[in-house]
Amino acid sequence: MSVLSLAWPLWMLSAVTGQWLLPQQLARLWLIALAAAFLAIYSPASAAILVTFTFATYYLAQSRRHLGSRIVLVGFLIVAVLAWFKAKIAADMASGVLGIAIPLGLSYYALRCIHYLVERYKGRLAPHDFGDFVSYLFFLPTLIAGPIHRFNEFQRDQRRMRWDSEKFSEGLERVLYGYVKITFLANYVVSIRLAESIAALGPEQAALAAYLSMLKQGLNGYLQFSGYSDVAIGCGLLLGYRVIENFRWPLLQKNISEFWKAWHISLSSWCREYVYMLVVSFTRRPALAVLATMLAIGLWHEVSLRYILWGSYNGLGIVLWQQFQRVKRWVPEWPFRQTGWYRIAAHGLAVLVTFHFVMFGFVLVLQPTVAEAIAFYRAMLPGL
Amino acid sequence: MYGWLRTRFSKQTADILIVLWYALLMMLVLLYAMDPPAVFRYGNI
Amino acid sequence: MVSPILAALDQVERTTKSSKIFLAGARDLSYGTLFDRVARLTTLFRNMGLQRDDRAVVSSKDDSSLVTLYVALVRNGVTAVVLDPDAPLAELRKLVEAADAKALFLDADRATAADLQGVLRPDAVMMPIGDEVAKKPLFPGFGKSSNGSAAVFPAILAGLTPSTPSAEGISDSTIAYILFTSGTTSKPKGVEITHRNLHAQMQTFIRHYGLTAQSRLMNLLPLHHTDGLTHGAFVSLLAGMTLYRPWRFSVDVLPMVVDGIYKHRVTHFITVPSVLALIANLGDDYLDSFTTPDLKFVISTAAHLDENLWRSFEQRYRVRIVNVYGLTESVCESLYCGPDEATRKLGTIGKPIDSEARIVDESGVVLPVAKTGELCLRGDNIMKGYFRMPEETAMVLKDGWFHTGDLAWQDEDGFFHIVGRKKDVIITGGVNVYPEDVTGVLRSLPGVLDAVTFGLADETWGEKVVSCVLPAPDTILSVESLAQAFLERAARQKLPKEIYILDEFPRGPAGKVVTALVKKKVEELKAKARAVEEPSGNAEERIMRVAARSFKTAATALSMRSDAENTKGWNSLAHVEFLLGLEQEFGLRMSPQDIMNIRSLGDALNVVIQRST
Repeated sequence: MSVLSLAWPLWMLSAVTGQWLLPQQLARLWLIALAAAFLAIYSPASAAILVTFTFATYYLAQSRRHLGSRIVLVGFLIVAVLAWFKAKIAADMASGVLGIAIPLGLSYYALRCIHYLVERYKGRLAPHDFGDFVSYLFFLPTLIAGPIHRFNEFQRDQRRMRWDSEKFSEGLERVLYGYVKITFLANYVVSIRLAESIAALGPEQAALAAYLSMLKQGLNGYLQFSGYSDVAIGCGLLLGYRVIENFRWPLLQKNISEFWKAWHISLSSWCREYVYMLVVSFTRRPALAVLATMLAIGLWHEVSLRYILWGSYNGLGIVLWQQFQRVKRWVPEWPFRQTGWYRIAAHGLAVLVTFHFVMFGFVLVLQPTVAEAIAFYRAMLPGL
Repeated sequence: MYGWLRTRFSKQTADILIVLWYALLMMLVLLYAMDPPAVFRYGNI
Repeated sequence: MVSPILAALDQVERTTKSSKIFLAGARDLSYGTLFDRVARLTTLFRNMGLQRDDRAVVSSKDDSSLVTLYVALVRNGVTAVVLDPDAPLAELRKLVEAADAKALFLDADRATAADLQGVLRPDAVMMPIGDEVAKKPLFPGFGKSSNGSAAVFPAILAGLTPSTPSAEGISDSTIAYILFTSGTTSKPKGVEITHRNLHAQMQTFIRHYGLTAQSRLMNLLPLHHTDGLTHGAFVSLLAGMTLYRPWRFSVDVLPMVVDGIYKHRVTHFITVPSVLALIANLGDDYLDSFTTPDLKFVISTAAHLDENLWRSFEQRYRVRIVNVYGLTESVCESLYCGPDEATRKLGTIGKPIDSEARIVDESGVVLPVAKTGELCLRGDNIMKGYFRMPEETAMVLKDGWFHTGDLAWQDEDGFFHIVGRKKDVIITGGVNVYPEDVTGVLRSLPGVLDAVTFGLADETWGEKVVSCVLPAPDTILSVESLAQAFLERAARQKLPKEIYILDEFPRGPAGKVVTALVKKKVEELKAKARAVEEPSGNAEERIMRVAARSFKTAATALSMRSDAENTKGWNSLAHVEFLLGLEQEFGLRMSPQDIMNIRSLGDALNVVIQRST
């Protein structure tokens, strides 16, 4: 089930009609029912898991007695379920078996539940009831592929809910742009036309072909993923909710740290708050925390060597860049560094370096195995 | 997009242009949605 | 002359759709339900022996019940005495005694006849206010079956037939309601407002604010004060519009209140200056509640509106604030600054509408422009007098002019400026607190020899109540135990924000405590305390300095609201530097919880404060 299917617009149409035509309380129930039905139809296992998570998360986090322990317990269980599926899939892939697929949306709603739990512990949740929590989890637009929207913002939108034609048209536009990114830019321009151009290159330009292939894959990944996010965010707006953004021109950022604040923002900010901060608060060692965070991000995608490598690669990149910042302070402020030309050139260079760093990293995960990734690198850099 | 159009053109022109723009985009989507979509796997999520 | 209120109410009943919501509160009350209940209450009153010109006490936490009873009483010419639902029993007894009422409508869990023994009239009838309709058990046989048929309002209405309230004998001088202005130890002064007063005020509001049946008012002020009762409930009723009161106001629900303004497309928001000050501290994502074109203007009442707050609020939120002045004795408001240009001048209380105002000196001589004196009011909205207190009434109502006790002057354009107060009252958060009330309660507490109360300036609340207490010889007092004992005897809003336990009070030659000197002593104490903090600067400044260093940004670009989203240079590495810097600066070690909780500079401040106490 993906947003590109014919069914998706129909589901959204039902959601939007119900939301704006029914009286508020009924509309809320309608949205929950639709999301539940959606999951039940396309992934009954996921529906069962989500319902369990919902009740466990809410009710076990109610009383304040031993709240910390209970939260750790529930959090651990959720992570265990997530990890089990990830590991099982990894094992299946390794042995070539076509096993189960990950329950639809599990990776996302697991993180939403943990977010809720930690914020509950901190005492930072806006006032709400069980129904509000259910609305938050059973939200159709973000079920399939995120963003991992936050509870307080969602709850606030609930409290402020009213018809807003500007928001609605913004949603329509967003959905449209998302579909354009996926069907036209990603599926056609990049995956077909660019691929054709690459294939047209002769064998003596193998390195160039490999390089362009890398760009093609990376761009395709970006366009697809940000396109899906656009559709999800746009659908959210159609229902009157503004959820967290997921992409903010990531490929134009000037360093790897900024990149990760602009790529899959809902995930990276989740990890920054719940992994990075946690590790820092216990170890007071930011470099270690960065590595742990990027590793977590990698493993969240898939439990496999290539994602471990990819996570470490990005983590190292960030740590190195942070060290570079320290060293940079010792470089004297020569006057030419202030000129417009220098700044533009420096900025351009920074973007290029970051862009390529990211693209190189993507090879690791967009190639099916590590071996193939290495072969890819070799093709790009002959003589290695 | 609409905001930008409004800064360059009058309301009427901007309205027409935005409708044309949306129509063009929708046509693109429908045209290329017919092509078999590339299977997009970004990890197992 | 027949009371004009009756005709006005009849017209609203006739012309408003019965399904239209009158009060959107914890529960919604429609016009249809309201008027149906009023009709049934008419029968109830008759059965209870309640007649025109009798008095009935109404006091409830349930807005819907309170408003319904109030309207029914007014419609039937019975004087409604509305009391604070949170007043403790001791205070309630005093007020009930002063009210001398034939009927009492109180929350079921508030007080029984036994609790009020000694202050009730022998012929008094009590009717408890309970839950809404009898709760039907989910499965017959299971669950509690409610005692809905017992004599509880509103359940009892189900068994009564509606009758049309008669207009006979209800003239425009019938007392519509009595509200007490002061009342714990000093004799409670009950302000008597007639039907004529009330109607005049309603007409002024409707015309001056431009209220129509399409208006949507949000007013969360308490219904036992005139700013909630008349400036909210009754005017909404007479205009046939909807009043929004979804929550009891507290600082915690403030963001929800602002969001509520957005959600319900509120057209008029009535509140007090301290709430505006709190709203001004909210982030930018609350702006659109006020910048929206639906909101016509904000009305600020009950306390002095600081000119800087006024100006900055209007600028930031792009909405006009109408500053109004009035007292319980003038029904609600007499002078208006806005919304129209003719009465608008920032920093003033505007001009009298449908009433007259003048400045007089000690002997009652009218003063010319620019001379400060006592503000006096005259008009149809001025009270009849204080209930059964002819002397006190005569002190303030002279020659048809009401002496407000506030000091003011009039400028050459006709705008009035308030400069101070002649009378002894502290206005904190828009609520009037009388020092002699507070002092009286304190003196009655065990171990207290003497007490003195005064007001000090407060940034958020305008003023705060401060008391000094002299313990009896060989007695040790603690502020906590004093506060606890205080709350058993008087309402929470009278509790002083600060209580100082002193060894002695400065006295004048006659032995009388000189309040001004006590006040000075307290101010000195506070200044000394601040000086001790000073050398290292206050916590906020220090945090900003550490932040400026860590994020490599100017301290002037930072505020307590600064966080990773809105601050340049705040990345995860700098964040760690900031945390370590805080630990160093304040010499503390933060726990993992603390660290995870710090998302903004304001959070850092909370942690630092917590860790240092």
